[in-house]
Amino acid sequence: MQFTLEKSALQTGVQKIIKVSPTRSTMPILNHILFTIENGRLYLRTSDIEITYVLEVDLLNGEDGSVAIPARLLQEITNELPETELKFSVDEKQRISLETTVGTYKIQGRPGDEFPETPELADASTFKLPADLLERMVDKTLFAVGRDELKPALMGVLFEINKADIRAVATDGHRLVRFTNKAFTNSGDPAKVIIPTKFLQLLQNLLPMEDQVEFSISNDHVKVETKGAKVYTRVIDEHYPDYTAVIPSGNDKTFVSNTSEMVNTARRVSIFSNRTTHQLAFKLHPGYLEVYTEDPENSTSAKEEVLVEYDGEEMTIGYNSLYVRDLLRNIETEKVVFKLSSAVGPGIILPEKQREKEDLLMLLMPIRLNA
Amino acid sequence: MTSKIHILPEILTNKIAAGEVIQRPASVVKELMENAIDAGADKIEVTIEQGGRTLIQVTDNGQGMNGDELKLAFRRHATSKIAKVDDLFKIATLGFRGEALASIASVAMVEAISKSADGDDTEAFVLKYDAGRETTFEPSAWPVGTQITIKNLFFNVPARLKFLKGKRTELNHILDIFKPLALSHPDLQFKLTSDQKVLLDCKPGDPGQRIVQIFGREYEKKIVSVENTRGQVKITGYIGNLDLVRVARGEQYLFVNGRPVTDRLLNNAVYGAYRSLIQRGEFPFFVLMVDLPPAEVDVNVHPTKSEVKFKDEWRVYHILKETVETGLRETMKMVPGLHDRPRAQSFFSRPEPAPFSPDQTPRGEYAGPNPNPDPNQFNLYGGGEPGTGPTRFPERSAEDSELLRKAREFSQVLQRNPEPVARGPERTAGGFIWQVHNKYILSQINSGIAIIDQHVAHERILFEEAMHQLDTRSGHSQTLLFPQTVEFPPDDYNTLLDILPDLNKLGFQVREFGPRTLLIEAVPVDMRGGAEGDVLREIVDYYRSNREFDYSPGKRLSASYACKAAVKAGDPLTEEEMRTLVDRLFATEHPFYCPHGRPIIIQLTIDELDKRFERH
Ligand SMILES: Nc1ncnc2c1ncn2[C@@H]1O[C@H](COP(=O)(O)OP(=O)(O)OP(=O)(O)O)[C@@H](O)[C@H]1O
Ligand SMILES: [Mg+2]
Repeated sequence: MQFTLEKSALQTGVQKIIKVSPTRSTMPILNHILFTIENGRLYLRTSDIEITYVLEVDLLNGEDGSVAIPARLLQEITNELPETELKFSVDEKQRISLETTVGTYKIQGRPGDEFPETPELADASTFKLPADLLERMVDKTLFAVGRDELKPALMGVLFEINKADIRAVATDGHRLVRFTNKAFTNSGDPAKVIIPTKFLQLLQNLLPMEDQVEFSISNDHVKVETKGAKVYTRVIDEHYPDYTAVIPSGNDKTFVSNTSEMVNTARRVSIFSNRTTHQLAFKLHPGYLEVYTEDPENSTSAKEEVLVEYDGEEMTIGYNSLYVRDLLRNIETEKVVFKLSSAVGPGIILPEKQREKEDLLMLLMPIRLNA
Repeated sequence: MTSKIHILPEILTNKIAAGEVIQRPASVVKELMENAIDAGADKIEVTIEQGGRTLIQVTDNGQGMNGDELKLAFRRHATSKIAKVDDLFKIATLGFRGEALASIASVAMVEAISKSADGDDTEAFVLKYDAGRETTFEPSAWPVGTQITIKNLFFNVPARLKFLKGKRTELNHILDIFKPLALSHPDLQFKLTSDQKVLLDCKPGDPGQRIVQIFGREYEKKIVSVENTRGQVKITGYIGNLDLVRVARGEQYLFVNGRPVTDRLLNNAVYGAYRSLIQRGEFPFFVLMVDLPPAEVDVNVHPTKSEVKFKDEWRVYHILKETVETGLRETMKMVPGLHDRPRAQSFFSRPEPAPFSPDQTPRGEYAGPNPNPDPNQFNLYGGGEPGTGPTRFPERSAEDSELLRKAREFSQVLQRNPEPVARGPERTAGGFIWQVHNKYILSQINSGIAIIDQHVAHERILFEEAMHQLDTRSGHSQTLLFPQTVEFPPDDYNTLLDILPDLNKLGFQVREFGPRTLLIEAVPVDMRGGAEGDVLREIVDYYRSNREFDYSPGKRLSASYACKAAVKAGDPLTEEEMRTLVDRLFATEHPFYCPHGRPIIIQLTIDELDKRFERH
C-alpha cells in the first residue's frame, strides 16, 4: 500500500482525532490511528471503544488498503516536519516507510483489520441541525453534568428531540439546566438520549468550524456527521430522573439583580468561604441582598450587599458558591432573575429576557444552614 | 499434715503444653520467682553467683509449704494451682503445670527450706535433691516462707553446661526475667543481688515508681501513664517519649493478667500507634498491662508460658493501639516535625547527659550505645523556623490554632517546594503533589517524601467533624433535587430509626416515609458522591457490625459515617482537592492515625532512601 498527502492536511487531521485515542489503554491497537483508503479517498479513524471518530483527509494519490499507525509518533513527527509531501509505503508486514523532503522514517504499524469496526446504527432516526444550535446546547448545559460514576445517568446530557422543539438537560442532582430551542422542527419520531460528557466535549472542538450537522440516534449509539467527519458514541443506557417533576411552579419570591454585580460579589465573598463546603448565604431584604460567608475553621468571613429589585419578606438561604458562579456565568443578559420559595426548596435562575425561540432555565438546590 | 498439692491426672497433664522448661539460669530464676509470687509473698529476694552458674537462691515470705507439700512439690505434675481440666481455662496464677521444681531438681543440686503459714504446721522442713535424687528431708528452723537454693546448675548435663554464655550475659538474661516480674508487681518488694552486689532493690510502690526504680530517675519525666477500659478489657501502664526510643529491642514490656508475655501482634499495636514517630528498627519504651477475664485468654500454649492466645486478639489489638494513641495524643498533641523546639521541651525533652545510676551497670554489656535520637530526625520537613507567633482564633484554643498554623506551614511547604524532582500530570508550578494509583497522595518534603493515604486522611477529617457536629448539630446539608426513597430490611430499619436524629445532626435530612422506607432529602455537604441510599445502607451495616466495640454510639456513628462518606482508594482527585485534603488533615487533632488506628501518613526520609540505595 502506498499513498501521498500534504503534511499540513495530515497534521490538522491528526490533531483533531487524536483526542479520542486513549492515553493509556490495555488494547494497544487503540493507541493507533487507522488509515483506510477506499475508492481513492483517505479516512483516518481513532477509537476508545466508546467513541469513534472518522475523518476524511485530502489525499494526493494512493491505492486502496488500510494500516494502523502509532498515534503519538505520528502526531510528534507531523508537528516537527516542515511543509512537505508525505509519501507512505507499507509492506505486507505493516512496516511503514515515510518519505519526506527532509528524510525517511521507518515505523512499525499494525494490520488495519485489528482496529474496531465503526458502530452500525440500526433503525436510526436522523435529522439535520444547525451546528451553532448544537454547539449552544452543549455550551449551555455541559457544565452541570454529574461526575459521580455511581450515578451514571447523570454523567451526560439528556437530549430530547420533539416535533417542535429540541431540548438539552443536565443535572448533577444539586443543580439543573434545561435548555430548549423552539425554532427546531422535526418530521421524524421524537427521541430521547443521554449523551456522554466526553463526546460532547469533542463536539465543542468540532462544531465551530461547521454549518450544518446530521444527527442520528439509534438504540445504543449517536452519530454526528459533518462534511468531512463522523463521530460516534455509545449512549448512556440509563434511566434519566424525571426532571420535569422537580421544576417548581409556585416560587413567588422573585428578585432581579445586575448579573455582573452578582458574579463579582459571589466571587469575592466566596474567597472567604470554607474550602470544602464553599457555602454562601443569601439574605434577602426589600431592595437589597446580603451575600455573606463565615468559615469558623479559618476564622474568615465576608459580607457584601447588592442592590436588587425585591419587595417580599426577608429570607435567608444558603448555596454552594461554586454552583452559584457556574449558573451566573451562564446568564448572558444584563440582569438575572431569581425565583425562590423557601430555604430548602429549589431556586429558579433565569435570564431577564430569553433569546428568541429559546428557553433557558436553571435550578439550584440550597444548602441547609444548621446552627 | 494435709497437703494442698496433688499430682495431676494424666488426662490433664496431656493437655498441658510440655517442653523444655529449664534452658539457662534465667529459666530457673523465672520459675522460682513465679512460685514466690504465686505463694503470695510480698518480699522476694534473688541472689545470684557467677551469673547463676554456681548459685541461684530465691527467698520469699509467702505462704510456704508443710513437709508433705514440700516433698510433693518436687514431683512431676504436682501442683496446688489447678485440679481439673476446666481450671485450665481460668488460670489466675503464673504457674499451673507442676513442672518447674521437678525439672530444676533433675539438673542441679537443690536445697529447699520452707515453713507453712498454716497454724497447724509448726515445723519447718528442709529437703535436698541431687540431680533428681532426694538426699535429705528433715525438720529445720525457718520463718514462714520458702527459700530455694540451686547450686551447680547443669552439673550433670554437660551438653547444656557447654552452651551457657559468659556470666555477664547470663546475668543479663536473668535481668530480663527479673525486670518484667518486678514491673508487673509493683506492690511487692524485689531485691536482686549478684556476686554480693545489690543490683536492684525495689520497694513497694506504684507502677510509675517501679519503672523509675528499675530504669533510673531520668525516666520519670519521659514516661506517661495510660489507662483505658473497654468492656472487660482493661489496659494500664506507661509509654515512653521519643527520648526513650531505642534502636535495639529490649524495653518493651507487655503483661497479660500479670504474666510477662511476648506477643508480636500486640507489640505491633503499640509500634503502630507510634508509627509516624519512629522509623523501622526503632523501638519505643512501654510497660503495658492488659487485664481481662482469665477465660478470655489461653496461657497454656507454650512450655515457658511466655506466649498467650486471646479469644479475640484483634479486639485486644485495637484497644491497645487506641490506648497508646490516646496516651501519645493527650500528652504530646504530637505532630512529629510539626513541633518546634519550645514545644518539644515539655515532653520531647532534649536528651540530658544521663546521671550515673547503679542499676545501669549490668546493662553495659547488652544495651549498646544509647542512641538518644535527635528529635529533629522525626521532623517532617526539617527544622523550619516558626514564623511569627501563632495567630489566635476565637473558636480554637491556642494549641489548636498552633496546630492550624503548623498545618498551613506544612501545606505552604508543599506548595513552594523549589526542586522539581519528578515529572507528572499533577506537577504544577507551585511544587508537586501527586496522586499515585488514585490511592495515595505523594509529596516532597524537606526531609524526604510524605505519602498520605487519601481514604484514611479524609476519614480522619470527617470523623472529627462528625464528632463535633454531633455536639453542636452544625452539619450543613446539601439538599437534593431528586430526594431518594430507600427501603431497608427490618433490623437495619430499626437501627436507622435509632440513629436518625444523629444522622440529621451530621447533615443528612432523612425522614420516615412509609413502611421500612426512608426519604433522603439532603446529605452532608462534604460527603463524597455516590448513591445516597447506598451510602446510608453502608453506614448502617458498618454501625451494626462494629457494635462489639463499646464506643459510644455517637463515636460509632461518626466512625461509620467517616468511613463510608470518605473518598475511596480509586477515586481520582484534582490537585486542588488534594491540597485541600492535606490542609484539612493537618487541621485535625490527630492527623497521623485514622479512627481505627491505621496510619495516615508515612514518610520516607532521604536518609532511608540513601540507605536503601546503599549510598553511604
Ligand atoms: N515458693 C513457694 N511457696 C509456696 N509454695 C510453693 C513455692 N514454690 C512451689 N510451691 C508449691 O509447689 C508446687 C509445685 O511448684 P512448681 O513450680 O513445680 O509447679 P507450679 O508452680 O504449680 O506450676 P509450673 O511448673 O507450671 O510453674 C506449686 O503448685 C506450689 O503449691
Ligand atoms: Mg511454678
